[in-house]
Amino acid sequence: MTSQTSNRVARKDDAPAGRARTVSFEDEALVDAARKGDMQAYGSLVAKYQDRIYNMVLRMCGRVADAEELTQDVFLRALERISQFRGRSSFYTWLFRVAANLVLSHRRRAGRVRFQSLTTDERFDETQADGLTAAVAARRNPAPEAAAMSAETELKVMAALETLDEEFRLVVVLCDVEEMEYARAAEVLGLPVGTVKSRLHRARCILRDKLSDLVA
Amino acid sequence: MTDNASHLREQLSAYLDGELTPAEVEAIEAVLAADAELAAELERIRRTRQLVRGLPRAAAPDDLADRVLAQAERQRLVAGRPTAPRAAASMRWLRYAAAAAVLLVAAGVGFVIVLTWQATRNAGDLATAPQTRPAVDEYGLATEDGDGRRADKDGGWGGRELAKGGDTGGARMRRREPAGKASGSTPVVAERTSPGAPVPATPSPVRDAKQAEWSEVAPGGPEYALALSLGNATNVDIDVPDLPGNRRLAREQIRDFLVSNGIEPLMVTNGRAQPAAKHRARANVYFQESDLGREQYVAFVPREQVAEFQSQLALVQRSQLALQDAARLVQRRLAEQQTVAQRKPAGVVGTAIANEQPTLGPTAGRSDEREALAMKSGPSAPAPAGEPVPTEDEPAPPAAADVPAVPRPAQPARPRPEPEAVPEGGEAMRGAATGHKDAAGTLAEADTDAELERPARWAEEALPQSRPGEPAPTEGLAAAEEKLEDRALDKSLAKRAEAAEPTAGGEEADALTRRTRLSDGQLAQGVQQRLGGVAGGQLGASGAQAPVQEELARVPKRQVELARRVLDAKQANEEAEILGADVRPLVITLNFVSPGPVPEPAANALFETYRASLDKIDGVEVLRDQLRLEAERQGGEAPNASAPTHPEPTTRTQD
Repeated sequence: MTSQTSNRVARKDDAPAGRARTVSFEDEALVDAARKGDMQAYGSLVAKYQDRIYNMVLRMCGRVADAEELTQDVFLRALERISQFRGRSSFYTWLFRVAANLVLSHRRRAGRVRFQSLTTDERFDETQADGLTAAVAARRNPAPEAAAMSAETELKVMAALETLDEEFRLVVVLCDVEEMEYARAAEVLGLPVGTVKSRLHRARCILRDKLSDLVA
Repeated sequence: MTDNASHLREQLSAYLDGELTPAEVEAIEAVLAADAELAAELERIRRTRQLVRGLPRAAAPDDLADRVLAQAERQRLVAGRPTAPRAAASMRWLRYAAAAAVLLVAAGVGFVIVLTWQATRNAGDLATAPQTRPAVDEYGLATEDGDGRRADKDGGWGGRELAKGGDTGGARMRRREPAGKASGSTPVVAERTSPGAPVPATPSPVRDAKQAEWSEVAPGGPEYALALSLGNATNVDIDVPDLPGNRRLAREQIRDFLVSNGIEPLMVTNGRAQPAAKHRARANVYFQESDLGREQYVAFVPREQVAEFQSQLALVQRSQLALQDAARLVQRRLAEQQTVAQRKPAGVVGTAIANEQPTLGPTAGRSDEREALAMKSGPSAPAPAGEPVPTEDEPAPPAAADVPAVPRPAQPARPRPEPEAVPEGGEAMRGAATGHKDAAGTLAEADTDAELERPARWAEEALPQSRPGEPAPTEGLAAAEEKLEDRALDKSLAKRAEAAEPTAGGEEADALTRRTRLSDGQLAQGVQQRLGGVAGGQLGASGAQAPVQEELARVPKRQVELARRVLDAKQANEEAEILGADVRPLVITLNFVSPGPVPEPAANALFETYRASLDKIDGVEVLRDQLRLEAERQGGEAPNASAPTHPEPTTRTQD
């Protein structure tokens, strides 16, 4: 027990400040139990990661209804394949990889989604309003900038985000929304770290141009 | 911009994110101190990053974990997806194997009969059913033939399409999830060697290969089979007279019912499942199996809706029953015709038949049927239009004085049903099921006759005892009276079932209907009794366990004991699991029964009349309205005069 506790602490300490922390020790125990048929353990894993997966999926697909269904599918898919999880990466990384694959395949199946101007399009209500309304109503990031962000700013940021191509958008979502390290994002995406780095910078430059009135 | 400046700009994001090495940080900070433009760019990137990171964090639905677990359980139940981890699966498979073993060694007594008893009833040889369907005996499920095709002579939308869909679905699943073979499923082959899991009696390479394939693709077959064999499935059996075109119509009736209730099809056959993603998120899906003698639709429906669905299906049940009885009426007419033909010159027979025909109704359908019968029997006389329709209890005075009285042993003793004894609701539902008495008088009268206990059958049984030119022997009359008394009880039970069904959640009615069915014949009775024991009490109203005990007595004791323990535990656990997901299997079985020796023209005419009457009532929607009306009436409201009891006369075209 002592070694386990120290293991947990060590892993926590390894995570840089401000980064997403994964306490792999707990995950390993839960995954192991889930593999052995303990559905409650898997339920704990779902409860642990559902918000993060949901946020990532929501920022990728843009619709609350789709995000809920996709998030559910992510956990179902992960449950189906949990026996294939070998523990070479953390469960958190593996789960995000499952989510990323599912989201991308969903978007490709659904065709290229062109996100309209959120402030002028009549179909706004059908696309982003529900997600953003829910997002506004949802609990906020404790970061001061998030608390200060107005609903109008949110709409603009989301609109800009949605103009990005999938590969750029996914990198931004992982690194800025989920606040992953480059290495972990690269592991999730199956890309070299350098590619993640360059894509993220290019994506931010695009966003900078789209949000010039807010950035200036 | 130089390459170095470009490189430095690309490093800005990494610098902000703390992803640079100390040396890189030192280098870029040196440049930033000297280059105001680069510093401004850094600030813009920082602000951009801040905006994105400032997006609020949405919370997932609170019940997401519950939904995921419930959905995983549904998938396991519905499609056999390998959602359960390996260790648990192995225990479950052990239990299924043991249970399947009992079903195997019971060979024709167990669950096979649940799925095939109607199909084999007409053949009259239940014991050979598993042998004639070798793929059935493994899991009690009817499966494909050796070529993977479904033998469906009627060729409707169901069997063939689903068999095809199931095959391709299985291929897709294998292709897309290759690792699933090794993950969630334990091959049945391995199970056969496990302790306590008896080996199937007759090894077959083809069957073994298919079974292994099945277990790899979707190991839900035995699971599904066992779930159905236990007490948590709600069974609705519908006898479908195998008249030309009626199979297709019955399928459409069921499909209309399912689709109109939002129960979506799942491309599944023989236990192989390939649910689409959109289906996986829903519980109310159904899948279908077909066989020569029956088709089975298994819908997983919300528990609270089961009673309502039962009531809706009862309407379909009754409408098909009416058709069956109408067919029997035709048989009786033919039997009478044959008797008369033996006693009178052929030229008189046509008149006799024509004069009998008004009991089949004055609609176009009836006239066609008359023609059809007349084609068979000889020249016809037109039915007098506008005359009151005589019934069995009030036979019309012979239009032709030379028509002798046909022996009708049951008539004198049959009690006339009191109009008030028939619940209004029952009348409305019967009207819905059969259209209406005017437009589908044939069926309505037939239905009435059915409730008066199958006069056609009595005629069939009594007539052979009478020799040409002689009245029916007294023994025949006495026997008919005895049957009448026996079946009066059944009739009262049927009425109780009818009256109780909408209010008692279908369960009482279900039991009563089953009791009523038990009197249908010795064969059915025997089967029901056996089912009462094997099927976990699902049809246990008969209470007769002796045949089961006899069969089980021939099974090795150890196997029986093991299977009993397994079934007991399974029955206790499985229901809780299914109920925990708030879904229950609703098993709708279409039993294609032979209507008897009905000449083809008459059968065609009969079906056309039936279809026309159904067209009039516009399918399930109207049936549902009728159900609602009935409920309102039982609630004390005045009968709705707008109930379609007298629609316009049926017109039909002969296609």
